[in-house]
Amino acid sequence: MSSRGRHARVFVVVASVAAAVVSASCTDPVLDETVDDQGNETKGIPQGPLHRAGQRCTACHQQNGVASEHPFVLAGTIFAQPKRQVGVEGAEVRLTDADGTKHITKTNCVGNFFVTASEWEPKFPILVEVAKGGVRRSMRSPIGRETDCAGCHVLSVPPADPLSQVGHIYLFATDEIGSPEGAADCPVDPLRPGSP
Amino acid sequence: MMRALLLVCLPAGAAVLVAVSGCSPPPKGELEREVSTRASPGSFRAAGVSKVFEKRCGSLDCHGSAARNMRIYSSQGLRLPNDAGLGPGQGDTTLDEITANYQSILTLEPEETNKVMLGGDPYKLLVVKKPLELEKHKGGQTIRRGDDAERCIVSWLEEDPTKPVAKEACDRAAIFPKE
Repeated sequence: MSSRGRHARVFVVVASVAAAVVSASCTDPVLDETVDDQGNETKGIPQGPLHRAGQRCTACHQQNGVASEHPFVLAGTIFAQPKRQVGVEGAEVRLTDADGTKHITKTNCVGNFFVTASEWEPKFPILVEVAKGGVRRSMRSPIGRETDCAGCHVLSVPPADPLSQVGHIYLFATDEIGSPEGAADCPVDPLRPGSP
Repeated sequence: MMRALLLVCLPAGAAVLVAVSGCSPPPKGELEREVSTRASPGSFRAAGVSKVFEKRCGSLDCHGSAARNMRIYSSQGLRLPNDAGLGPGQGDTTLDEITANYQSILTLEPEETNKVMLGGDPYKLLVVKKPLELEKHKGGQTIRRGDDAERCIVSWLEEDPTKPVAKEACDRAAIFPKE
């Protein structure tokens, strides 16, 4: 082999190693796994504010996520009640951070809400209260660092880890008066697939 | 004659050896046991110190997670495996969970904790430095300087018969989030 050919081969090997190192250092296996766990988009629901209700929004909507062009500070979904996994439209999500600053956001017709950094930059821990009409529910513990409601509020029946998992966020405990049926004029079905 | 003498001498010699070893100080290299009144398990439960850690540190996304070294169990967060089938948000924090919290906190950095037990400065410990953010803490400053939670935890780490745990501070600090 000529000296030129040997140099070219060495260059290719070094370049490949460098590329492998760079790509390995840019991936976060935990984040990748979290994103994979969310699965595919639901058929008929386009990407946007109405998609993936109840899932981990900031797995993608964060600085290093696949939806990094729309990063969220905090995001989640409010459901009606355990027996009807339907998103609640127009629920107020009242947030108070460690410095006492407050922010209120409202859910859309599938129950999704999200806060962007331009709206509010909270200092954790954050206290949360959800309200609609005369109904109000408060979290009994603060959010310490998690930016996704679904980081803890996961619905799996039976729970995959009953010692640490809590179900979805419900505005109502049971089928009481005022428990919504879901927004009739929502472009997508606010009933979560698989809901009883 | 010789055999009889040997039979008498052997047990006597063994008895003397046992008696001597019982009275002598521990051999070099062994730890001497010291007693401290600081950070007692009784006060951890009765004075409500565990409750402060549960409320301030033990949310499911922070130290109420199996991924943390300092793991905090509580009725509102991570549960210890239990026969009653209790999950987060159900029942009270159990005695086993309080005991697990105590062990988790005191074994986080054993050597440093030993120094504090023997009269050292509690502010050298991570359990004090981290929540006050005197040292980098991913969860940020979860306790402010001069806060009831700081008084509660530090008073427990400095506890002695003349300086009991600041129970009232613990009670106030455990009301979190404020009603």
